Parts: sequence; structure tokens; C-alpha cells
Amino acid sequence: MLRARAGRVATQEARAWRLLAFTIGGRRFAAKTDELAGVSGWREPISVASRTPFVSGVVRLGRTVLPVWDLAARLGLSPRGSERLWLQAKHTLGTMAICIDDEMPVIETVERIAIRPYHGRDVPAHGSFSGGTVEIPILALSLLGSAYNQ
Amino acid sequence: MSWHGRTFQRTPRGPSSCYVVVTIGERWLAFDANAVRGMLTMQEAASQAVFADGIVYPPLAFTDLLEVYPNEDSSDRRVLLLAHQDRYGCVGVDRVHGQLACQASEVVPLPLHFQGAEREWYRGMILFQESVAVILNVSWVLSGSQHDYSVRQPEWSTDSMHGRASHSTGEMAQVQKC
Repeated sequence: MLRARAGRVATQEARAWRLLAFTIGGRRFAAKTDELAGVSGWREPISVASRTPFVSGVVRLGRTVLPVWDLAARLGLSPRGSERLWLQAKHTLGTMAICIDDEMPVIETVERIAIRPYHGRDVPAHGSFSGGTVEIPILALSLLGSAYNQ
Repeated sequence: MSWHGRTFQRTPRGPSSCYVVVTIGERWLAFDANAVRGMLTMQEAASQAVFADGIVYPPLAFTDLLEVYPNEDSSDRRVLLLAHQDRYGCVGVDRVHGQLACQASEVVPLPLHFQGAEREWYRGMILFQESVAVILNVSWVLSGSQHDYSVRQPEWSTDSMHGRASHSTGEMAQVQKC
């Protein structure tokens, strides 16, 4: 019976993706919830001189220190709002923080059939889905910072 | 001049290291306290290179590479005298916040996302007050400095409880070990 239930869950996973939708500089993005470690309130980033593109600081969240990956700069955007948020993204090198707008992110379930290849080349993506007239990329967070997009 | 900052002690279990925490511009930086031989006021360090106890401490250029810009208006500005192996140098800082004794396990490794030359610049990070201080690699900091041409060794050492550095004016700086 357990095996049958697990099978149903897996089938549902295959049929739909749970995504967190958010904005950076007003532009809409999404990420798979299983690639996220959390969302935190705003803390000032601490600048750290670096030669690594888009990694130029850290943010302290309690006793945890996360590197900041500046996705906004990578895309030529400026995060909006005075109380911006930190997206904690799981990455092969460890969890990292990405600054997003202060607009509260929303969890969305998108049917697998509605997910299309992402046509843009500006960010690594698992695919995209339609948000009205806009194509919303589903970020492949673990690929940020790879040679693909530097 | 007495050591300006305070000493912060964390749980004293196991072997610990001691760091001098400073700010230059907006950046929080930490130096291994063993490498800090003394501290002078800006008045005491009147010239660019500091001559103390028979040793020349030339100004260090790493601040340009790190893009840290001192706040010339800070009334707390000091000059740290650094020494490691046979290399010496001095650097102006906006403020010395104090010394921090912590265990090796409390040093946060530099995240692997930092993949460039900075991996040689830093030895890790420490939580300090509400911020994070980056521990500078003293070997790298002093790598651009000249070898000291003096054969005279300082009469003091930070291995002892107190170190003293004298300036040509006769003013004395005192460094208290963690």
C-alpha cells in the first residue's frame, strides 16, 4: 500500500512542479521549491572584495554567513523596495543568498504540461511557464555561477 | 599609547586564535594578533613609512587591491605595524575595534562560491558584534612589502603579554595580547 501511495506522489510530482514565484527589479522569476532553503528578511550585505563575478559579499543571518550571488547585477536589474528579501538558494557549492524585491513571493503549482523550454539565454533555466503575456523562467539555481552564465 | 580596543573572549575551550578587528572604509577586517607588532596614532606615524625599534615598516598596498578606502575624517584612525617572518609593513585603519579570541572551529571558512584570487587573500571569516570580519592572510598582505634591511630584532614580542613599538618621536604604542 505504501508503495502504491509513494507511486501516486511521484506521479503528482511528475505532473506538476511546486514553484516559488518572485520578482527582481519588477521582472518575474520562479524557482523550484526543492532548490530553495528558505526566504529571509532584509539584512544589509557585507561587502567582501572578490575577483569572482557577481560574488562580492556575504550576508549574516543569525550565526549563519551566506555568500551573496548578485543575480540582479547579472541581469542588469536593481532590486526594488526598502525591505528587500533574501532568497536562500541551494547550490552545489553550498547555500547562497540572492536579493529579490520586497514583494512577497508566492508558491505556485504549475502543471508539467504547461512548462516549456525557456527561450532566453540570460539565465540557466529548467524551463518556463506563461504568466499572462510574460514568459517566466524557472531558474536552475544550482547552475548560477557556472561557466555557462559568466 | 595604550591598546585602544577591547578584548572579546568567547568560550575558552581548546586551542584558540586571537585576531585584531579593524574597519577600513566600510570593510571589517581581522589580522592575526601575532602579526600585529604595534599601533600608532596618525600623529605618531607622521611619515609614510614607519621606523620603529630599528625596523622600517613600509606602507602596504593591499588596500588598493581590496578596494578599501580609508575614511580620512575618522578621529579614531590608527596605523598598525605588521610583521610576519622577515617581512614588515604598516597600514592605516579607520578604527581598531578590539581583539577577539576564538577557537579554530569558530572561524567560518570562506564560502566556496568565492573562486578567484580572493581565496589567497583571506583565511576565513569571524562573526564580530553584528557583522562579519574577513580574516586577512598576513603572508599575502605582506608579500608586496620589502624585506627589512635591519638586522636588529625587536626587543619585544607579542608572544609575551605586552608588546611595545617605539616611534622615532619617542612615543610608545602598546599591544596587549589576548
